Amino acid sequence: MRKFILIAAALIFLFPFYWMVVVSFGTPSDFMKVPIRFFPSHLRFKNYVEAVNYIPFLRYFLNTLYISTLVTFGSVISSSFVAYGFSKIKWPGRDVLFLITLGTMMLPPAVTIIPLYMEFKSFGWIGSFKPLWVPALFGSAWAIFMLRQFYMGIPNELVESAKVDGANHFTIWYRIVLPSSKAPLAVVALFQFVYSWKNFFGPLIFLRDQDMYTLPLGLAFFQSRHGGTEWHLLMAAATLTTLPTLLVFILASKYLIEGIRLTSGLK
Amino acid sequence: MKRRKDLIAGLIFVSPWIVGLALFQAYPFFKSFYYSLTDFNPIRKPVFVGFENYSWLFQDDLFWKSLWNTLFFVIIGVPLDQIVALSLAVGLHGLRREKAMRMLRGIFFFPILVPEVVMALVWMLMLNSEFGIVNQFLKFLGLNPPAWFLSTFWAKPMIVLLRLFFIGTGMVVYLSALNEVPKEVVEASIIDGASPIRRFWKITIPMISPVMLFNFIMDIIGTFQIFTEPFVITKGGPARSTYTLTMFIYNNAFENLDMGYASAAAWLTFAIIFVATIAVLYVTSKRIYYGGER
Repeated sequence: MRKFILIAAALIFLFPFYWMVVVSFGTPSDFMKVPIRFFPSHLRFKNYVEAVNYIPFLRYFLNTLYISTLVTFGSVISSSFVAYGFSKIKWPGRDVLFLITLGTMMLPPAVTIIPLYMEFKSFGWIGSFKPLWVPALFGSAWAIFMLRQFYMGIPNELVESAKVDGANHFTIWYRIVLPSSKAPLAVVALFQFVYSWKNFFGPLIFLRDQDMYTLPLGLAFFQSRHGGTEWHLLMAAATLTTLPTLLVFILASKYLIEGIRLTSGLK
Repeated sequence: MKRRKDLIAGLIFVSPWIVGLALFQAYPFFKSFYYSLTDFNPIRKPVFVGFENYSWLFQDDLFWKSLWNTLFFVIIGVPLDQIVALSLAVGLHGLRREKAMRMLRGIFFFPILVPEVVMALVWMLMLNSEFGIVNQFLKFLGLNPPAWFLSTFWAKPMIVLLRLFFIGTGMVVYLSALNEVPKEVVEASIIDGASPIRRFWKITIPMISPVMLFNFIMDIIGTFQIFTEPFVITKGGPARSTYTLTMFIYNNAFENLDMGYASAAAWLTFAIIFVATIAVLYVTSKRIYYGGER
């Protein structure tokens, strides 16, 4: 009984992806036909060729990759640096500031988005990629939290003995803490990448030019602009958009799941 | 001397974040409250009008409608999400075979990595009233299915169902909480002859209650901000039946360019989320089990 329910649930969870792929390989009307065809009659790879022109796929792909890469590297390096200051050095006010940092995670983006828009407008950044990646260079609350939890577990003796040997905090961070936290850094990097890749609200607000759209934004707009949506092409583009996340999942789902456990404070 | 040195070193390390916090969180947070007290569009300077925006909001039917729709998503959607997440976690927890467990867990987890826009588009296609596979199937069964996203009654529940695909995070958290329930307690209750159902309610649920609270609160905060799914699928329609608070803020700020009004709506939304979170914490405060510590 337990197995039956789990397998049924798994099939339901898989079906949208299965259907997306089936439609992406069919003719423009295969998926409308009665009786339902659960398999494409033959694999029309040319749908994929058409799809990457139907929406400027390569362009959107590169835009998204560009933003996500900058966000990932920027936030991981800066958050690791900041997390060191929250864990390996004791200073007055540290814990209060850390609590405030946690508090910002509860703040709805809708509250800050209007002043942020005006702020970026005064920098002349609206319509560029900058609003989407520059803030990441200053750290991300979530990444700081994750890395701080990990650094708390690094024995203080290690830091103290390095100090006795004459190392300063920067050297300790760079030579000891960074190399010993490759796994958590990878987890944080993966999450930053995935969330930036998925992001819809930010690009919707800050990007202007259609050439600069990200994949999620491009997909959403293509669907709504054309009255008679070419679903087989849209699904081909959607499948291509999903592939990088599938790759991340296959390579690293174990670490991602581990990361979520850490966030909730469980071991 | 050492203390002072540590303070300086600490501040140097957190300085990027202090700048980021100030520029991208604190300043916009307070500034949006100021904006909410002004009449303001991006071309004109803000003009102070006191609480006028707020009193307009209270008379704005569309605001009330978007609040009601959002509450629907929270009140119906959040418990449903949590029931499904916990049920799947309990199911996976009881699986003997590690390999099968990992694979199923991966399947339930995967959708949260996929862009919401992709999931929304596939869902839209599947539930299309004329040629969607769901309706084709229901017609095949001899039923007369509704036109889901064209119906003011069905559009909201269908978005709630779509969001059930995103329970992966909550499920993983439940699963690790279930692994933490001490074996001795469970074994003792089996010896005492407690039935599995009784054991679930009297032992498992209290033991994982802190994690349930965490998941509920995260889900409540997230669902109050629901935007992408209705924006992509229905644009808030039909007849504004899926129009949410965040859509109200977005439209007023970036389409009507009425940024003072939108800021007031954003602050009300923030206040509602805050009050809802505190209320949940308060109501549950006596029922959450923190391992004997008070």
